[in-house]
Amino acid sequence: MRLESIVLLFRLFWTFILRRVLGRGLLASRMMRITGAFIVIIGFAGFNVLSYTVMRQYLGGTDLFEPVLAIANVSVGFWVLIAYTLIRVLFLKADELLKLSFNLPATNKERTLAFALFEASVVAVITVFVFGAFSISTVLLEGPAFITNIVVSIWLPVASMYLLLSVAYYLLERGLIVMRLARLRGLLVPMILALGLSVLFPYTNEQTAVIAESFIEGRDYVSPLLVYSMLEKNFGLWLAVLIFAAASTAIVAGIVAAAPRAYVPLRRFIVVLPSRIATWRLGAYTLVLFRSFETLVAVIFVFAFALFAWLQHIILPPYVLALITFQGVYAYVNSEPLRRMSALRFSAWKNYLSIVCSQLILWVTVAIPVVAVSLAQGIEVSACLPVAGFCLSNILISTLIGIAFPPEKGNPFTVLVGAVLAIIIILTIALGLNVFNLKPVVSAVVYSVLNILVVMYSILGMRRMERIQRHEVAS
Amino acid sequence: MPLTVDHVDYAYTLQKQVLHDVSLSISENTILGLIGPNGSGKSTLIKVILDLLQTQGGSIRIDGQLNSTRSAKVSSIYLSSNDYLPEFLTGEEYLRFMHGLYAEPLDLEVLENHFARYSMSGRHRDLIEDYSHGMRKKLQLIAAFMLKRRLTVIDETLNGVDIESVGIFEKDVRDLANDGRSVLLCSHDFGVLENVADDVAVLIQGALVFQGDLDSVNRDYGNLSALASEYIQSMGAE
Amino acid sequence: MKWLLRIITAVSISFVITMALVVAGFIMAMFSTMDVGVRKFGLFGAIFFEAHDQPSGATALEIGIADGTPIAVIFCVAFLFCLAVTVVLEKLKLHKKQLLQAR
Repeated sequence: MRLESIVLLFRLFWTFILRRVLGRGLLASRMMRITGAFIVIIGFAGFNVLSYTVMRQYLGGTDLFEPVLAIANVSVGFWVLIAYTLIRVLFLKADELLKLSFNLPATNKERTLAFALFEASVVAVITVFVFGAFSISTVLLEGPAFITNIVVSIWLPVASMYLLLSVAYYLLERGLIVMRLARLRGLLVPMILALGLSVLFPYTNEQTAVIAESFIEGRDYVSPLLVYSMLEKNFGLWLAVLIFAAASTAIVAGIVAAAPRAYVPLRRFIVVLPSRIATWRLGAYTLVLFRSFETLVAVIFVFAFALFAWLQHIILPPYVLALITFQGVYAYVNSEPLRRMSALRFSAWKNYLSIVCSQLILWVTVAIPVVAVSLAQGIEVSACLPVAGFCLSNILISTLIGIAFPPEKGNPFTVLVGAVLAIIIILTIALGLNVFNLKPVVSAVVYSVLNILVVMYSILGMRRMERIQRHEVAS
Repeated sequence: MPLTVDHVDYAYTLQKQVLHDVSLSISENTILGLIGPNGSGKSTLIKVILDLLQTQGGSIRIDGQLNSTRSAKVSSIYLSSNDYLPEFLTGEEYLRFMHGLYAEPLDLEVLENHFARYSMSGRHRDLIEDYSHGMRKKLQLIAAFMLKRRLTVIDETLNGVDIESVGIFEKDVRDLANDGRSVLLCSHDFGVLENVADDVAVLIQGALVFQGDLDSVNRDYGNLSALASEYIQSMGAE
Repeated sequence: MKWLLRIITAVSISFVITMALVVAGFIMAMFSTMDVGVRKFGLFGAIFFEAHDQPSGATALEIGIADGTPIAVIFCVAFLFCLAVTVVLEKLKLHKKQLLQAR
């Protein structure tokens, strides 16, 4: 195994992703790239200011930082597993990225490790964004001495947890290869990760309660999860870092040993629904959506949650249905072959209507049993209607994200950039409108107008992409 | 006339003129072989003909209609050089979708017969995701032979297809052309072109430097390869 | 049609900018004090924030618009700015095209 090959492949993946992300859709224009970067920086700064002001108000001058940090430390496993599940699902779709390296003189092991390194670097960028605000504001309030606490309570456990999950993932992949189920890992891996989440969730809740009790009663809380924090407190930072370095080396060696030697292509589609519907355009668009493995994963998650809620007597409006609506991000790109395989063209709005209607068909199919469970639990129909409105809006917005930031070849970074920008804008609008104390009817009208704008920009975006393909306008 | 290309120019950018005043035509019952070195503008010409790129100068008519009209599009079918196919569909569903686009009924018996002839028996219910490169190309060819348009445009589709299937293709494309239809066949495989083409056109650096029937090519130059070499050398010398 | 689209886009962008400033003003007003019963203003007096004690002992938060004029002015300025940027960009693009054609 050559380290140089791994580094070269790692750079190849980043070059590909950056050129794909910055070369297509909205980000192809320099003006939009600058605007996007500006929004992200402003968003991050706003996030920091909000975190700082909230913490100063509620925690400043109190001794609550210690237990809050302990709770953050204990829940690291849960949060990292959620992030890892998301990353896994996104990167499973990026299988085509790996194919880039097939004609290069690299072993499968080098390829897998370069990809793991690439994935870790993406995760690091996201982690800085998510945990950065909390870390910066805590250090600003408590002084530079608190940096040590943040490092041993958050950053080191996050890194170790991520590495451990990577070993577990590669071992799982090896197991699936042995059982000849590796082609179905797109479906099986998220299921197993979700199982892990359902085990970790009650444990994290229980430990949080124990920490709170210990703090009130003045007892010391001890847990193997706080290993770095305890080492730092009892022996000093140097030992915590040393143990972290040793553990990381051992885990990375484990990753190298566990990484599969053979590459098994992923099954991306599963045959469902009758062939006859392929005759109609809407039918073909519906097939794209129903057959992709990520839809299947989302549907199973929704049903599993509905069943869990039913058994645990959790009475909530069926907001879990929103999970289905995020498929919209891939709806435009996944259906691209349907628009490109023939010289016969249809207008952008007809294609857009097919994209949205196919998602509505999927949503209604899943919503019928889930809503039936909610109604049987005693939830009013009036409580379910806002869910439908929210989901419809979500379908329109995620479709727009998929058009403005097309995740070609399943590259996950485009989805992340699009989602971050969309979340910042949507939160700004929602919070801003909240200040106006609008009547529900007026709010509904405002949100309807915003959704109409989303539809309009989606159709205009599709039309523009088509004109770019025909070289009528520059990209 | 199934295809008339009249003084067509095309440029991707102001500095990059790709097609220069190209004119050609294909009569009924004719297979026209289009040849030329890489980067000579063959694929661009095909895309302009099929209105996948907007015409910038000149005019194109398919079956007597301007190429941008719906009737021209329904009269033609394009088999692209890449295998950009909907992998979420099965072979049968792909053909159903194509038939749906052209508003033609799908004959399952004919479909199964074509799959058997192209050594893909029983694979029409498999996802295209599971097809090899060659199988995808054969699927595209089957679509063309089932839909039988007035003009069939084949751009390098035979790359990766096995020898036995190429033989079947030669027979099918000849039958298609004998049935009052025309084919524009772009290929680097001179052997196939010599077996099936009636006419040949040579495109070099975006200019159509030759169009004539294959018999005269064989008479004057010996074979297609000699014709291509001579024009490439003479253009290179200029 | 082209201009209608530009105006709609400028309105949309200025709406988002205005909302961002409203949120920023609200956060600053909210965290400038937590004193109960004191009304704090933000964004040039456009937004107010006040915390009340309720008979149940809980604290109720009241937010709202004290004066819509600054918000309207911000929206108009943002709108004119967006429109001006669009016009300048369009002119520059046209100029570039003319220069390229002249070559």
